[in-house]
Amino acid sequence: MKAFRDWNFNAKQTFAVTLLLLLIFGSLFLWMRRESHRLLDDQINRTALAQVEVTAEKINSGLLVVETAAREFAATLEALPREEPLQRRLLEESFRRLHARVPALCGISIAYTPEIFLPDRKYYMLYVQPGADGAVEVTQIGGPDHRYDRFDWFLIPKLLNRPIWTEPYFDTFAECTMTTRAQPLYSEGRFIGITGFDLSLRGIEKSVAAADAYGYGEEFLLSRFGRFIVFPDHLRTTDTSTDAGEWVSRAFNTTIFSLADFLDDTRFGFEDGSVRMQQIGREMLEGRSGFVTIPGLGGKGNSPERLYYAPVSAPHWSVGVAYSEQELAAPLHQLEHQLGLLALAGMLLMYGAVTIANRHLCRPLQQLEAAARSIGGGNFHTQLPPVGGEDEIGRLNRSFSTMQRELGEYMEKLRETTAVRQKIESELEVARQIQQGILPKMLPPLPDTREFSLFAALHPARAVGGDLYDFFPLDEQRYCFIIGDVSGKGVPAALFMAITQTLQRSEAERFCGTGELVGRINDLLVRNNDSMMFVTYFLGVLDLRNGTVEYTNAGHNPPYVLRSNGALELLTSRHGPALGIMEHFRYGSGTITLTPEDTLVLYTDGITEAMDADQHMFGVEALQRVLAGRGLNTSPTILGDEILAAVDRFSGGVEQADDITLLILRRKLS
Amino acid sequence: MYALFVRHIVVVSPLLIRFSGEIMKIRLFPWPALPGMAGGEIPDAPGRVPPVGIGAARWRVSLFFLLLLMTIAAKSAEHRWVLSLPWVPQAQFAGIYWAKEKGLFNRQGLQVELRHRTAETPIFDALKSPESDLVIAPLVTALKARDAGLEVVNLAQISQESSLLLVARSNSGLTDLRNFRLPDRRARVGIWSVNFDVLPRIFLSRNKLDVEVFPVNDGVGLFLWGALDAVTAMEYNEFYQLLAAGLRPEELIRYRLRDYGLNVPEDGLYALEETFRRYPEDCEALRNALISGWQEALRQPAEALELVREECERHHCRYDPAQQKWMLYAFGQNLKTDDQKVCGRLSRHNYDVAVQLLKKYGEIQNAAPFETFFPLSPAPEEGELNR
Repeated sequence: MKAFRDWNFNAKQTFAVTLLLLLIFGSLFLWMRRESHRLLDDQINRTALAQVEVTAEKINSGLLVVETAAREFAATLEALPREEPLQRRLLEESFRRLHARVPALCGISIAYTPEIFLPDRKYYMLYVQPGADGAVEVTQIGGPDHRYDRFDWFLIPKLLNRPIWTEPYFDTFAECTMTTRAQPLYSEGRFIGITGFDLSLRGIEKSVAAADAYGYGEEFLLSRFGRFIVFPDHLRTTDTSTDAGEWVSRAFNTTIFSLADFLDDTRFGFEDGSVRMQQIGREMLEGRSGFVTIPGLGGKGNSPERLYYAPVSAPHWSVGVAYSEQELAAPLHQLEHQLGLLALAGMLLMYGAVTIANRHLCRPLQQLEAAARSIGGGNFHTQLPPVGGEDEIGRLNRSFSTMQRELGEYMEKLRETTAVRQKIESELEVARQIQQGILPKMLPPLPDTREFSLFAALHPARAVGGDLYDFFPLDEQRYCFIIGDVSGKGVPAALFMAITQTLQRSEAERFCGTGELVGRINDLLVRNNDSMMFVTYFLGVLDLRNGTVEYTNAGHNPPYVLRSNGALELLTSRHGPALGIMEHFRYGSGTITLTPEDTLVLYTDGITEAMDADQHMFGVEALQRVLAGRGLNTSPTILGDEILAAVDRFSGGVEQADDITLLILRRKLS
Repeated sequence: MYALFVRHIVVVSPLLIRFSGEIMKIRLFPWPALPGMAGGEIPDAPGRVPPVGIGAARWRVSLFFLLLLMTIAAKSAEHRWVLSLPWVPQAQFAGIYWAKEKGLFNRQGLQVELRHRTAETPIFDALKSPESDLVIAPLVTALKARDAGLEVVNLAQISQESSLLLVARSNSGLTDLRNFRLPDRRARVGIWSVNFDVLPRIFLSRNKLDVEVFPVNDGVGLFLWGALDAVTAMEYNEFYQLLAAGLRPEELIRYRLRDYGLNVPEDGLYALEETFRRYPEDCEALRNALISGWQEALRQPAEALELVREECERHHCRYDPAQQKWMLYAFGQNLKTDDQKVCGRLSRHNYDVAVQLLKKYGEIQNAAPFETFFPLSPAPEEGELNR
């Protein structure tokens, strides 16, 4: 695994973008999940609760119809003469009329307190119910074996003095489970009996079924005291057998609280643990509506369920629907699933797109990089990638192109310049060699005769210099030596020097005194000197026999004479201006005699004006110190080397502006 | 004899096979105890088909033959016993169902048929007609029946303590027996009209409660509606029905009659003295099987409740697991004698107290001597019956 910084640009960018996408899509997904969860959950709750409430209201309005009918029926009955045929007819008619509106109606009864209706007849109870083939049957059912006056539906309204909706019960005569609207009958303010309007629970069950908004709920209806008027599906019995109706009627009817006990069972842990379901049961019976998560009614495994409930206000009943949380959450999970898939697909798509786009975007960069490398390798004609546009890469490409072109041109120029320079340099080298060739060679030290020893050195500041020195014999007794310094530098000076050098040799052949010789050379130099150059010039002729030196100094630095006794003399006499300035000038001459071991030191201003790094000059004093410090028997070569070394030391390697020339002549002991 | 055997196979076999299937269901899928009960294990869940194991067929066959042999053995007994129970199928009779369904009666060579009755007619009427040989009845009712000339004997006293309560609402003001009145009127007290009315009446009379006595078949509904201010209730039955209607125990005040010197036990097994004289061994065997059934039922309440459930199903009665569990627990508490045994003994003390009480309040004139009324010695200890 490479370190991140070593990844290529494409990978880095893709990684960064993917990471960012993951972050964005991830948070988007979470946010959407939460929001959709909330919205959908809200919607689910609202719909489910609304459905329960509407259903409860429908049931309620149905019951109100029965209540009104019962009240009116009781009023009519109380007004009627107490005659059985009349009551039978009233029963039939009322039943038919109401049954058409309320299909759950399964019977109407009139039951009088025993011995009230007719003293001879202890029990009197008329009951109307649907007979065969849509007919209506009225039966007299009171009797010692049917002590209706002990039933709840008779006793409770009697004792409470108000009509009630009874708890659900199994009626052994009608052979069905029902609830009864029991309306007390009065005669002159005295209770005389009950008229009961029976609603079959099967009929109510149909209305309750509408409470299930989603089709997978378990709907139920609770009575005033928590009994199941309609059971949740899983507790509903399919047993319609009535052969033992007596037992059914007496059996305990499950309530929401006994169901709670069954589900939670803390009551049997011998502590009165208040169970959640019981609290909910009480809330339902208190006439509230709402929803709540419950451990489950026990129908669908032990998974939690959400219970929606709403009151049926007239009889204080409550409709409930329990949905498994799992099933309620199913559309939510589905949405989540789809969202997740979408997010994943989106991410993959984006990843692909980014990768491709990156590759596309990076291709010119890669090509540029390759081209740059090629250009760096010296291939200035490398084809740059064809990138246009005004974006960064386009601009970069154009800059590259400009750079490439300019670099090419520069390199071309450089090549040309280099060629020219090389040519000049080689020519200069030739010129230098020629110039050096002009100068007399030291080795073998030609004038190292028995009488004299000589040292000469010329260090041109450039390839060619304007200094000159020369020494050559005039005849067997005389020896001519010259030192000069051409004004200016470089090639013109060198050429002038060469002319001078050439002239002095040729003119020396007709020697008749140094002044005259210098004058002649001067005349020749002046004649074609359009460039107004000149040369300071010192020419001496040494007589080997006696050591006399005739000399002419034409504007040159005064040479030193080191006497054998250690004295240092300066030949200050000058005999005219530098050569090449004034035509027909008559130069004079001087003479000195060199005793044995005397040394004559000639130099150009390249020595005294040698510069160090701080632009200080070597100076005459420094030269004099070197000369004064020499040993008496020092040979010219050693002295020359010492002087040059002192100059070198002083200048510290700084390139010198002027040529350095030294000529040292010493008379030996004869 | 041969013809009888053939007829028996033809008639009884299908029943036996069905019955053995029922037993299979019990053995393979015992209904778990209430607390941890999984929702899927609801006994009367519709459409639930009990899965049958691989060995089931063989089981059925062997069971069939076993039961067949037992049936044939039982055939040889001369008498077929009919036992009438005073109420609808419920856990109050769990031990009796156990004795019957687990074959404890058959093992004693007895053929016993159970019949359920309701409270409308006096239970001892069943002994008057040739309908029943045996009944389950409260001691008071039995003493009254005997006083009225029906010579009944107690073969086993099942419950040892009275479960009778008078229940009122805590907030009604009826919290003190010395001032048992409502602010504006006399309290209306619901009392069962048949069988169980004697002791409550004595209770009211003894405590000089000035109340309106209101005879009811079942006072729970009336009490819930507020039509009654107080009501008699069995702790194992009606009291739970009140709780199951949403009342909290602390919202109710319970007067246990046994705490007021009226501890006359209820359920006992009765036969006519004549029947006992005729079949003394059978009666003892029957008593032993029944007590043994109770001992087992209390030891294995979950299985006992399953038998109750089946009995309810047979009679198309709704079975409420919580109610029946409560009942088995509450009723079971009453079966132990002072020495913590379930042996069906009628204590002489209880008998004497009951007789004196009833005589004092004019409910009876005469009573049989204890030995006549309770002719059997107590049942063997738990486990001895099976040795």
